[in-house]
Amino acid sequence: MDIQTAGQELIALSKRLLAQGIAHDWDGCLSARVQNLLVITPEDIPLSRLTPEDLSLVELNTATHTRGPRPDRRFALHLAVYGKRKKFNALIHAQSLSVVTASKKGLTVPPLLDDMAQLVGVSAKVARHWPHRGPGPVISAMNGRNAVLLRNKGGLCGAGTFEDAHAVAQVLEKGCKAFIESTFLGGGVRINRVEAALMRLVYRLAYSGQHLKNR
Amino acid sequence: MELDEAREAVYRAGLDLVKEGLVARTWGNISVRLDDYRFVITPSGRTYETLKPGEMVVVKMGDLSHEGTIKPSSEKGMHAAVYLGRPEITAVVHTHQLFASTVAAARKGIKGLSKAHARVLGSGVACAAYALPGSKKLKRAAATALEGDRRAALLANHGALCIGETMAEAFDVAKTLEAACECFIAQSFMEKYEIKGTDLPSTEQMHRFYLEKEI
Ligand SMILES: [Zn+2]
Repeated sequence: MDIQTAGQELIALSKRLLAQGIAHDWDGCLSARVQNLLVITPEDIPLSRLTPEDLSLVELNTATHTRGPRPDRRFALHLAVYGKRKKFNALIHAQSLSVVTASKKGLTVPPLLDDMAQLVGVSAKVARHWPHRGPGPVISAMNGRNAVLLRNKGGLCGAGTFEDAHAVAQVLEKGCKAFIESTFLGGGVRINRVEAALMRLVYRLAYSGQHLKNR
Repeated sequence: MELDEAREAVYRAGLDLVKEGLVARTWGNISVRLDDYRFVITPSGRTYETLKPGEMVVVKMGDLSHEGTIKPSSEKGMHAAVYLGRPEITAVVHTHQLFASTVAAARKGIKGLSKAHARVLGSGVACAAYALPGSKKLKRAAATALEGDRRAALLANHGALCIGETMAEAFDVAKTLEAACECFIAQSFMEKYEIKGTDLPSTEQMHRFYLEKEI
């Protein structure tokens, strides 16, 4: 993918995230990895007013800001995550109601739903010390998973494409909602850890890419 | 029903369910009875927006074999079990809708359906025992949960199964189920925290309370 296409996709997705309540206008943030560059939303322009010229470019290896307005303050976190997770090409901050509530509560969200186990992983952990101790604890809490909760600040979702990262954000919202609101019903019953891991494996092997293959 | 008509009905229902937010991406699946032996179902792992009516797959109820090269949804067995057990049913919709999934995460049936909800859903809504997606165990559990005059079942840790004598009815069942689950969660919340009054709390209010309380 080239910078221009990535930028167009990013802007199109940012409007959908806004409409779906997944991103906040002034605080929303998403980015893409394009070769050795990070394309990220700027710090001082709300998502609703974003145009392709407003995106910031940062070199992945040197962290040098090369084009556009001041990048989002979380760009160093994005650089670090892309550095560690080679299969991620898209990152989204999820700020929907249940994800934010779960990040404030500070508890690990267990897999209570099959699609959470498949798309997010065997749990969503909370990076408790974000942002004080830098990206390290975020990356370790996200290890083996496609999402992590940032203490008090919602979640960070990553995947190979924007479309998949968006799906992770949607499933994370549902998983957090089920975790929170099932407590009013006597508590959620978690899926056995082995079955959750198995489902994730099967999903990644069998279903990813099926939308292209099964035609 | 004629094959073209059935394919068109499944195709339209997919788009309508996406619009209503009851299914998204590749999640959930939809079918229509073709005759006493066959039904038409959405393909496996495809996004609703990219499907064409001609890509809907014809599946035999007896041995679950399918016509053509496109693979049917992996939940075809669950649909077949409904058609075989309930001759009056002509449409089956499996969704991953939010409120129903939350109740399903607690593996609870819905108690205290309102009269208006019971008119659409039948005498009650049960939760089918947990089983891995696509398994025979899930198919049997779902059929059991739909016994009698029931029109909807929750699938433990997964989602919901809604059925109707027409597609319009199955669609109405899915929407009513979502409303009934939303009420059930709010009522359970009021009972748990001994809150008096007739107004049900909003999701935002319940989350605020959750953050201030134990658990
Ligand atoms: Zn499903």
